[in-house]
Amino acid sequence: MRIAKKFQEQDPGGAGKVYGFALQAGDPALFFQMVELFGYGAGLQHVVLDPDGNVVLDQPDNALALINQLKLYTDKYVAPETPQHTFVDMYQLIEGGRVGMFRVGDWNVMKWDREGLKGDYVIGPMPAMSADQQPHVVLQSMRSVAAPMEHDNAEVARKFMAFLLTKDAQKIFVKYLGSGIRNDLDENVSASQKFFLQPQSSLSNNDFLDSVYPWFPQVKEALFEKAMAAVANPPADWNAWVKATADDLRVTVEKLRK
Amino acid sequence: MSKTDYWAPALIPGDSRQGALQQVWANRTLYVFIFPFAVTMIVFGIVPIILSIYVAFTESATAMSKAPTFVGFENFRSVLSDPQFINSLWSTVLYTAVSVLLNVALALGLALVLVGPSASRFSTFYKLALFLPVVTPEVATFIVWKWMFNQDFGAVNAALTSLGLPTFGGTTTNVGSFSILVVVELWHHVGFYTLVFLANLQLLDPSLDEAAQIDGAGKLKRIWLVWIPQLRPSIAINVVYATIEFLKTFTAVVVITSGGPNFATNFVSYYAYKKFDLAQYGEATAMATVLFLVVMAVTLIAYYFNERRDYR
Repeated sequence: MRIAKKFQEQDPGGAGKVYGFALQAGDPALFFQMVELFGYGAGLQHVVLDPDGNVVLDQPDNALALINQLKLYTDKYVAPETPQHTFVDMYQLIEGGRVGMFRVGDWNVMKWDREGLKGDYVIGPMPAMSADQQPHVVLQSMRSVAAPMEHDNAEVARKFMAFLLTKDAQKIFVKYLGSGIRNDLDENVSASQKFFLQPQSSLSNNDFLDSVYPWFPQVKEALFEKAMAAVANPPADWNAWVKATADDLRVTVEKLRK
Repeated sequence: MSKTDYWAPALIPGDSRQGALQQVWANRTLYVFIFPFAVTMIVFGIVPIILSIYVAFTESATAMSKAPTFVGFENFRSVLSDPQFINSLWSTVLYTAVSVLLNVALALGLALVLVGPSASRFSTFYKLALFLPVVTPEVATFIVWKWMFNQDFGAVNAALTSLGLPTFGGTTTNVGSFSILVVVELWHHVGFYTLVFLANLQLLDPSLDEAAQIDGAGKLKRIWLVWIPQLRPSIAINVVYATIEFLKTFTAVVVITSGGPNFATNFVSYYAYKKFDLAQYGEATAMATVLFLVVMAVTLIAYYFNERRDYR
């Protein structure tokens, strides 16, 4: 928030009107992704629901992550159209040089290391949600590779899976996707990309709860409705709002479980 | 016109099966030409509608599986008890009413101006200018409109600021967002409705106008009492078509407002689409079915009244 405010006030690039943050909230899934990213930075793997299906939104760190994000809207550190922004809208702001901070994946760093955008973007230290917290990096959407037991070419599939973990294969991932899962892949990459291959912060993994609970999208939708209403009419007491929202979500989850 | 000047399907008397087959055979050329379009309409028009209604009666989690679980009217009950859907339905109806009124009234006004002597010199240019938005790809133009209304670098606010006027909230306010959709869709559709009126204005009975002139009626009186009554069929067609079109408004919402802010432009088509996006297939198709029924009802009522009235 401090950096966002400073950037917004000083407009170091001289772009005219600039914003501290770029977010997307054009639909429940986009909004929820942003909420989770804030949570990840605070070392939280799940902001709203834990893997057992319990609503954890009103736990102190989780509440802080959500409140901080919503305050970016109400304190006007994001573009006023952000509640309607899709991924493309968000990137139009980012690549138009109109925002100070934004989420980043290493595939973008590859792009920004090339001519045209080179030097326009810097990767700073990983921020922490508050002074008493450590910054975190979370590998989102972890994916495993598996071959069905009855596969005709199971042996070939097994060999291919083993190959995927070799350094040669991982270098291909780094070249085309910007990321890898080995810790010896940082040769011949830019300093900014190296940041992602040698994380300076604690690393944990995460996968979508949508894959665990088929009704999880409805929880996202319920949170989205409440959050957008709060952005339109900010509550006087954010903590009370989070508590009430969490209680409502518990009722929703209870219904959905049936 | 003599009987041989036009072609009509051969009618064979009798209602027996043989008679029906003979009738089909006698009209075989007609059926050969109709066949590809009939098949296309059935496969890409009617079948998806039936499938969509079918999904509306299944549980979302199993809707896409080989053996979906049927839940009767549960999805309809869920949708109709969802306050967000009721809001969505009302905002769609309000948007449709405002848009139909504006589009048809403006189109009629523009058509009357374009057939008048004042526009005769550049009439082709004016018609082209009006019709161009109709044939321009929607998404591309809607993106431009969206940028024009942007709070920070949009042309609209830049113009207002340079004139010393207060800025416009654009898509960040409920009323602004709703109004932008009305204006953008007006720009996109009004040319089509104008064209329908222009075509019908060419068909007016000149003797009625002459009689009114001889009786001393002025221009405005003639338009109101002679021209517009003769234009009733085209007014009815435009109103019905516009109503159907605006009830289904989707693309402009996707591109410009994403249903916001705070669901102010969350029209039914868009809401159903977002439900589908959230894997709530049963609810999404139930919403689509409700919208389909509303559109069908409007169409049938309009058709009924249109058929009953003798306009001329």
